[in-house]
Amino acid sequence: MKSSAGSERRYGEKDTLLVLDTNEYILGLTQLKETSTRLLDILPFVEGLRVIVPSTVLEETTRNLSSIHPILVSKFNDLVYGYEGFRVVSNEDLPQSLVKKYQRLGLSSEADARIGAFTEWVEADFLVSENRHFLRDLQTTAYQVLDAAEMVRWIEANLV
Amino acid sequence: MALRKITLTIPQSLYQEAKRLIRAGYYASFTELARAGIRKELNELYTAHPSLALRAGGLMYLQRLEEIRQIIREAGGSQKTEEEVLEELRRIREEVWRERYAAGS
Repeated sequence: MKSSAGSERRYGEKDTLLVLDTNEYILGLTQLKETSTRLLDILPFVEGLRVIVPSTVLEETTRNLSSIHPILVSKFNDLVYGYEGFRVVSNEDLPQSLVKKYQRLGLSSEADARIGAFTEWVEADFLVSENRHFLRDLQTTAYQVLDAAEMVRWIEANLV
Repeated sequence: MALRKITLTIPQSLYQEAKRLIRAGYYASFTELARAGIRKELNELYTAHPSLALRAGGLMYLQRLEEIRQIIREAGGSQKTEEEVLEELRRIREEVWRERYAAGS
C-alpha cells in the first residue's frame, strides 16, 4: 500500500483506499450481482479499509436509485454520509491535465477519464468497477483496477 | 503488518504443554502458537456473534443497507439485467458530465 512507503496521503494515511464505481453501488444495492452485493456487505467488517466516494459517483448513484423510488436518494445519502468508512470527496477541482492523462491511458470518454483521474488524485489503491472500459482499456500503474469479485478476494486474503 | 510486543502471564502447566508442542514441531515458536490460538478464538467468537466483528458504526451501516435493499425489493427491484444497468449508468455518467463540465466548454 502507498502509506507504507512513508508518503503522506490526504485521505486515510494508514488505510487501504478504494474508489467504487457507480455500477458497484447499484449492482450491490439491487443485488443484481452477487460479488457487488458481497463487497458492500463486507465493508464494515474490515478494519483499515476506507471508501472514497467521488461526488459525481454519488450523484450518478442517487439519480439511478431515484428511478426505482425517490426516497432512495436520502436513504443512500444517509448510508454514505453516516458511516465513517466512507468519505465523499468533490471532484470539481480535479486538474484537467490529469483528466487528459487518463484519456491518453485508454479512457476515451472524458466522463470515465475523470473517475480514473480522481482515483489517482486521491491516491487510492484500487478502483473497483464492472465497467469494461476501466477493466480492459485503462493502463495505469498508479493503482489497481479490479472488479468486485477480484476486490473481495483481495480483501479476504489481505485484510480479514 | 504492524507488530506489537506484549508480556503474557500463563499457568506453568500451560507453558510446559506449549513447549512440548513446539519441541514436537507443531509450532515454530511460542509466539506462533499464541497467534494461532488467538486467531482461532476470534474466528469462533465472530462466527457465533458476528456483530462483535463490526467496525464502529458498522451495525447502523448494515441496517441502512438492508433498508435500502428492502425498499428496492418492495418497489419491484430494478427490473433490468446487469447489462441494461451498466448501459443505463453509462448514459447517466455522460449526462452528469455534460451538465457539470461540458456546458461551459
